[in-house]
Amino acid sequence: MVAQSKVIGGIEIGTSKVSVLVGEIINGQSLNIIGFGKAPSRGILKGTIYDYRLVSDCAHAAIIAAEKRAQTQIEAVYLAQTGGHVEGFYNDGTVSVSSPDNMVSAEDIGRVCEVAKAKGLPPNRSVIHHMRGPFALDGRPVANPLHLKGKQLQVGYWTVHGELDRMSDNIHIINGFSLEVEDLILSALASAIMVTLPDERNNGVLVLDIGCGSTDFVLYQNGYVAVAGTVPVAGDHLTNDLSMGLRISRRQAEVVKIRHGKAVPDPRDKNVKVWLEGELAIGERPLPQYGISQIMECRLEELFSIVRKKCGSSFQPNRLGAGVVITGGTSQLAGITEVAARVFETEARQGENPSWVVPELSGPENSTILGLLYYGLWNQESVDAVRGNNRKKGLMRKLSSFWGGGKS
Amino acid sequence: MTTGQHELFEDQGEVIPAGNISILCLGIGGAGGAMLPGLRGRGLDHLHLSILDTDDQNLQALPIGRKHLLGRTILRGLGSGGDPEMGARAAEDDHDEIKRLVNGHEMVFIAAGMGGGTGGGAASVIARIAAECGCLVIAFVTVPFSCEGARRRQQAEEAIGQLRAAAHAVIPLPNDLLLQEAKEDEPLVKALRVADEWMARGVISIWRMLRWRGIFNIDFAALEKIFGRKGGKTLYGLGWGEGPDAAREALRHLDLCPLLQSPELSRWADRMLINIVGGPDLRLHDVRMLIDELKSKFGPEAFVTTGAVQQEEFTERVEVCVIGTTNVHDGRANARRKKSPVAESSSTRSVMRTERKVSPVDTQLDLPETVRAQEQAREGGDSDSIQREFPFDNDKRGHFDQTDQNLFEGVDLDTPTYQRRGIRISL
Repeated sequence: MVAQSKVIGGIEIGTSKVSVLVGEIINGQSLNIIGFGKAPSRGILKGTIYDYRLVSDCAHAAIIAAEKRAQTQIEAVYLAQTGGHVEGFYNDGTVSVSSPDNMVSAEDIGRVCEVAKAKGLPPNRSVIHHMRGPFALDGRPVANPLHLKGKQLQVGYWTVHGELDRMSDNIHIINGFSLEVEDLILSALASAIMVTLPDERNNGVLVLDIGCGSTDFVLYQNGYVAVAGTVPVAGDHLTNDLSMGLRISRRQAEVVKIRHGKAVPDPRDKNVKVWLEGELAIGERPLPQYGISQIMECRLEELFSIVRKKCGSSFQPNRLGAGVVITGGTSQLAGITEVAARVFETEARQGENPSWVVPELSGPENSTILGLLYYGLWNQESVDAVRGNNRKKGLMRKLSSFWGGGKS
Repeated sequence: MTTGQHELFEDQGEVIPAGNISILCLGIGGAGGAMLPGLRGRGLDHLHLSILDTDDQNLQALPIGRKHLLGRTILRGLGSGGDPEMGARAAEDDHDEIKRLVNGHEMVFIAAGMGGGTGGGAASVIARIAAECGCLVIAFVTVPFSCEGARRRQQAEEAIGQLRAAAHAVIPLPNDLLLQEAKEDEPLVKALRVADEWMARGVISIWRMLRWRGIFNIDFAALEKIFGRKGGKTLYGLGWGEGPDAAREALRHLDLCPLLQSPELSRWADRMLINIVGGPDLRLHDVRMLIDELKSKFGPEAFVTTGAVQQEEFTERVEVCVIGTTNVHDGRANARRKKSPVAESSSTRSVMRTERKVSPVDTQLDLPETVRAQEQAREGGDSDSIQREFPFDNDKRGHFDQTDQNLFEGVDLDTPTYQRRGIRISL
């Protein structure tokens, strides 16, 4: 029988780079990665597009490069979404079980989910994901309440939403290349699925993807997404702080960050100086290692504190069995896990992509696009199951079962 | 020695012989008044000092001869209560006395703290009156620490805005930045006086420009030309060096000047004043080098006026002061701020596609920039903006200067964290 294949692309339009990963789904069951393209980003800051044309050019360059390596064209795109405009909230709903014998029906389940998702959004905003939490039947958490007996059925959703215009910009860039966006995925979720195991998500884990423009985070509890969101502070802010604190240009600061960056100040460094070595050197002078660490430490501390605040009461260190996992380009900074461990009061480690990922793609800056393709495969499986059914251009998709938790 | 854009002598209007220039320094409010004692005893003749305040106690506490109590009738010497409106009213009330005070001086320096009531409110009124009397008004003002709170900062920003409309130049001295310069073990009181020192040096530099005769001389009309237009941001940097390579040292030191990192100051000038002081060993070569470097750093297209003086006691020492003003309309703005709606991009896309066929896809690194530069060249306009996007767009938010505020619980996260926490980085 001839193998059926579909070519999908995972695209992340980030602040430092646009990445495109091309995969081929064979028979709706397995995924081969067949192409990869990357281009430096211009026109985005803090994860938000401010110059549409510039970003468009960069994205198209990356897509061309990826398709060239894959030697084929992308059919469907899974697009990552981030940015400071992304917000989230929790809402729950309760319904009385309708049947006289108190047996939960599919209709009950449908009803309670609708109620929980019914909270309106502020104007000009659109839902990115509804992340379902566990069901509760008469106060007891249950994975699947169908046909169980009880009087009150409850469920909660963590809803992530964004500014409609910002999200449209993102989609239009892809459309501008005559490509359809199959689905819009929160970057945090895509990364998290790559660097955590189901066990860890069951035990409780907080994943941080610290890129260049924004930090995306997801908090898992009991296998469900409790909180997900974005803080528009990341690598660029570290660079900027260094530039202003050390009185050097941005380009020089970027070099310093990568070559001499240390997140934890060491008192033994107090007299240590580092040099830029010939980088744009008018008035080249040595820079204080201790000062570098001071600047970076307080910025990271602040960033982690903000993430913790955004997680609210859902974040409790003793309920986080798997601790904190950090991925993204900035996660490679020496000492960053120490600062995280301090602020989150739990263990912290650098995340790793699964072992089946080839060396070229194994770096933490690729967690998101790998996650996008991974999701694409799963989505394809479930779509094939309802072949030919209404394929919406994905702003509202049933994703809960993939990203965490049961089916709905 | 004279190049096209490099004016050595200004010959417009009445030439006032340097010996007759009278300079008045006004310390307004508590913070402003405290800045003045540092100017005494430096051998600056023809420099008159006066303090004005709504608080009588402040006036009495300072060792300055000429004092004036503002708003005697409405505030009765009890101070403005931190309210700029009261400060402004007090100054308006004393309009005639102030006019009498400033009349006859060619130049008026104003020193004030922008966070409070008298400094924040009265300073712009007094500046306006002085300007109306024909004085050239230059203000040195301190900006409150971030940790003093958002409301005070807001007040300060408004006060600076009003002052910019009234004075010919406003040079803010942000406490946040200047504290970085203080020695680690310095007592707080001494550390706060750092701002006074910067102001004093600025005043001294300009005083020297006018009063010391040297290789190149600046007269008052030249100053007026630099500071003629109100409203734009100023650039102010100071550096000094010693040793056989003093000029280069001075340049390097100027690069580190904290005021060049200030949020309110510019790193770009349309008109520049450069003053160089050196010893008998100062060479023309050094002067040319300094002028060239400063021009390329702060304003290759700028109109530059230079003064250079040799003083006996400056052997193997060089001091450089650069003061610049920008036109009110900041040409830097829009290259980065452009946000084209979808429709626009589709019409230019066909243009983009043509370009892309020409340049090899493998050089992705250069692609967007090349296309953009080509596009701009073709459009013929705004070639300035490419040049001006260069590295030093340091305002308070540096790289994020042209973007929206990044607010979280009332704090703009784009501003450096170490600054907001008052952490001193020893360089």
